[in-house]
Order: sequence, then structure tokens, then C-alpha cells
Amino acid sequence: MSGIFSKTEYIIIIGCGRLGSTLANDASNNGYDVLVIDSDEDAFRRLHCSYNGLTLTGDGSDIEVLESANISKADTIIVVTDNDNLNILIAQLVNKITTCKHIIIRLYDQQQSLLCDSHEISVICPIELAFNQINDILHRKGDDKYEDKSFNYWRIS
Amino acid sequence: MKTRALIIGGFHKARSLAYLLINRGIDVTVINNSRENCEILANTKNLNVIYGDGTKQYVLDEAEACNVDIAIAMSSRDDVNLIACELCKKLYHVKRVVSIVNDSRKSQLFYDMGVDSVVCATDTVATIIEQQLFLDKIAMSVPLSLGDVEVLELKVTKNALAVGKAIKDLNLPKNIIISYILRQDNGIIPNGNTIIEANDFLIIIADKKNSVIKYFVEK
Repeated sequence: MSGIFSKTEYIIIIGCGRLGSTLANDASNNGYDVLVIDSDEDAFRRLHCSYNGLTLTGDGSDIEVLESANISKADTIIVVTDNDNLNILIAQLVNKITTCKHIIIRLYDQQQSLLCDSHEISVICPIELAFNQINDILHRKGDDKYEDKSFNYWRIS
Repeated sequence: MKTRALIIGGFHKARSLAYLLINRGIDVTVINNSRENCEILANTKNLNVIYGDGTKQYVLDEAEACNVDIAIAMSSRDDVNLIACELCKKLYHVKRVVSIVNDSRKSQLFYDMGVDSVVCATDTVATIIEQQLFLDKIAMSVPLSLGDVEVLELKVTKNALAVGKAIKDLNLPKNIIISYILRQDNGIIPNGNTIIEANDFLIIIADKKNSVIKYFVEK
């Protein structure tokens, strides 16, 4: 079985919630070097018992914590804390202090993605993904009235 | 037109600043995400208060951020301050954006992201307390943002090295300038021939404060 991480070797995941721990378990299962950072030690209980990557307890926006995670060696950095503002700050900070080309962040609020205009930072928005998926399902059922609607249609701005 | 200032986050600090700005004739709006705090802030005369999260566009829209001349982020969270500042700068094109930062190592990031001026509150307070603890002989010291330059105010003690001597005879290090002498309510702009007297108040610009004290304050 091949996981979602195919090209990279050292992966840092900041935030060990449902998404962070799922990603970490997958990366670990597929034999990649992975390190998860979370400020709450209990969060690491979400990791599978077979998880053989590293964990680091600390504030993911703290430069010292990031340095002790060997951030400059990371091929992919995924920022998935539950706080949009914090995710943006960490992504921009990491983008300044490393040359990492793949920084992926999760934002609940699609509007804030305009602050992540850097090439290195990719934004994923769960609501947009869910919207598209729902649209696809309805589409597949052949219901024509949903055809021309895209997520953009629903944006507030 | 009246200058407009927007203060995002913060309560005590925001209230003090708002008060100062209002007294200067500036039109001030504060955004706070605690209803309780908003109700207290709303008691301040001439202060516009908006209840909400200052990192959300609809809240900043309500505060008319596009017509603001100065935006100041004062919350206790660096991420909130950064995002609020970035929105003000990139989306609303506010001319001057100032932020408090708690972790001084993030100051550079704030500047890199377009914030015009960054104030590290914790560092500033720590520096002042350090001065109060160890440098009681110096009446006041103001660190400037440019490198290690400091402006000091100190009182010359009775038996100090410099008393009764002309400035040119003191052999002061090159990195010190005595810019002003206050002697019994009279101001003196000193030159090399000016003689230092006991109880003079000196305003000194220097880059290493410790090398200054020994000339003007006895041990």
C-alpha cells in the first residue's frame, strides 16, 4: 500500500488533532521520517500504537521549538492546528526561516487564504473540499440544477 | 479630515492608548472580542467600540478599516496581531500599521510581513525593570531602536571624577556625547570648555552605558 506521501522524506506536522494524527500515522506507516509537534502532550494519544515517528511537545510557533525539530531539514511541513491565525503565522514564519518548498496549511476560514500568497504555501480549506464533494455526489446523481455552481458562488466577498 | 485610529484587541493597554489618542483629537475605534470588556470600553467618552474578532474581515469592514490612517494591534496573542496587521495592510491599505509583539524573536517576521512598527512589550517592560533594579544612579535611560544607542539622564554626584573638570579634559570615549546640561533650572549646551559641576543633570547619548557612569557617579 502506498500512502499519500510519495516523494518526500522528512515530514513535520504541527498540530496533532484528528487531521494531524491521521497524516502522521499514514506517513509513519509508509516508512517516512515524521515528527509531530503539539503543545498538549495528551494529543499524542491519537497516534496509533504502531506509530514510530517522533513527537515533540511545545509551541509550534516558537522558533526554538521549530529549530529543535530540525525544521531546516524538512521536505514537507504541514500546519494543522485548530487555530487559523496561528496556522498562518507558523506558515509565514517557517517560510522565512527555511527554504522548504512544501508548506501546507489548513484554514477553516477561506477568506484568510489571501494572506498566504507565497508560492511555497498551499492552503487547504475543509469547507471548500466538503462543498466540492457534496456537489460531486449530487452531480453524479444527475441532478442538473447543481451543475454550474462552484464554491466561489458562495463566497461572501 | 480628522485622523482615524483603529485599535485591535487589548483591554487595559488599548484603553490607555485610546485615551491618549482621543486627547490628541484623533477619532478612535477599538475592536475587542469580549462583550464584557466592550461594555467597559464603551464608557469612555468619544470612543467607538466594536465587539468582534479583529482578524475577521466582516469585523474590520464594520470598523471601516479602509478609512483608517493608523491601525494598532494590541492583543496578547502574536498570531492575532500578525493577521490583523496583515489584513489592515494588504486588504485595507492602512498607511501606518503598528503591532505589539510578545515574543521578541518574531519582531523580524512582523516587519517582513509589512508591519511598519513593532513594539515588544515584554522586552520593554523587562528593560525598564532591569534599569530600576541595577541602574538607580541613572535617572532614566531610553533605548533607541537603532542598534545599541541609548539616551541617558543622570545626576553628577559630589565626588565624581568629572566634577570641576572641563569636558575636553575628561578623555571621554568617542562613543559618548554630552548633549545637554541642566544646572539649577538653566539649560546649557556644552562644548569642550564647559566645566562639569556636582548636581548637574546630564543628558548623554552613548552606546555603552556602563562606561559612562564611572565619570559622573562616584562608586
